[in-house]
Amino acid sequence: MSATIYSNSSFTDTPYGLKLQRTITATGTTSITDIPAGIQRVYAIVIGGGGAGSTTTTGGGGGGGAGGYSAGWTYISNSVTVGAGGIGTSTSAAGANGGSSIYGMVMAGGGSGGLNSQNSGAGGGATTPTGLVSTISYTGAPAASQSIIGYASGGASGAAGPAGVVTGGGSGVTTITGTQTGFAGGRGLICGGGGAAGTSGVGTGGAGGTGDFYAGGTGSSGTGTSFGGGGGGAGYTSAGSNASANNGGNGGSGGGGGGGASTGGTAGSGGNGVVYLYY
Amino acid sequence: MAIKYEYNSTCCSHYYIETRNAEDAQVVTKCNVCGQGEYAEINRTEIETIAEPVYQAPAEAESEDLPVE
Repeated sequence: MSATIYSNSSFTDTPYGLKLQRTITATGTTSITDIPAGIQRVYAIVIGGGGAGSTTTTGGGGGGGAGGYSAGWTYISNSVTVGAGGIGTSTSAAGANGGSSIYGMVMAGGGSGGLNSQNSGAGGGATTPTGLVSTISYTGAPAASQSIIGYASGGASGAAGPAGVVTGGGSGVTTITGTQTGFAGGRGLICGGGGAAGTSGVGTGGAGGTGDFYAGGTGSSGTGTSFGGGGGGAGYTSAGSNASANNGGNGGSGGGGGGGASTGGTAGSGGNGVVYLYY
Repeated sequence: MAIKYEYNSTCCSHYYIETRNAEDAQVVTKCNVCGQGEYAEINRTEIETIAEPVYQAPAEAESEDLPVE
């Protein structure tokens, strides 16, 4: 009898001999008091919430960064915290950062929201970045600056999000005439959202970053400023949503970054985080 | 309010738990031990969300606690 476990992304980092016993997606902090007696340490995969995209009054906002990914052994804890994705709004300002997730001593930050401009947010490391520079990862991999590939890659300004394990969003476009295309979120395990384009000509939003397991959402396209939203980035457990009109698509669950919005549209929200426990 | 869903797989009876919001979809549906069967719900329990810890700045040190030069 053949097993098809490799089609299930929850197997990607399973330590030999352990089983996935618990998955927590409820955001906020909840208690865990029923881990079987004798289990003193568990292997945890912890993913933070994705950052929201941003929107601008004119032109296109940037995509949000993906939530951090951390994995390792930890003592057992009687509580777990799962970070919510940043909520996208129609206010011309920086997008909300994703929330941090933590179980025991394994922690992952949220993704940075898109900035108050066309610039995108960076991917989250062990803690939550704010802006174009990511944070150090749980493994110790260094933070990455703007447009730099990294475990948690940086954000972007006038460029696509750089690749990584956890990636930054794609930049929006400031030019408001002619044919314009927003930039895609970075490709990786968990991905940032696409940037937006707001133009009187043909505007196409950037696609959300393409994940190893799930696709990013597509940007919307059409003539005029009511189009050009960026797609949501791929999450660890689902695909990013497509953009609609000048609104950004939501990031996939499991930390995908939200897409940027154009010309006062509503930016995409980041995907919520998730925690897996193996023992 | 979060809900703890308890499952047994229909293939090898692997006991598995998901804690998620009621409106959210089940994350893992296929047995993650042998990859054959689905997870069948056997119980669900409501779990209260614990209040987030709030950072409090330390109180200012009193004068007699200050180091003597």
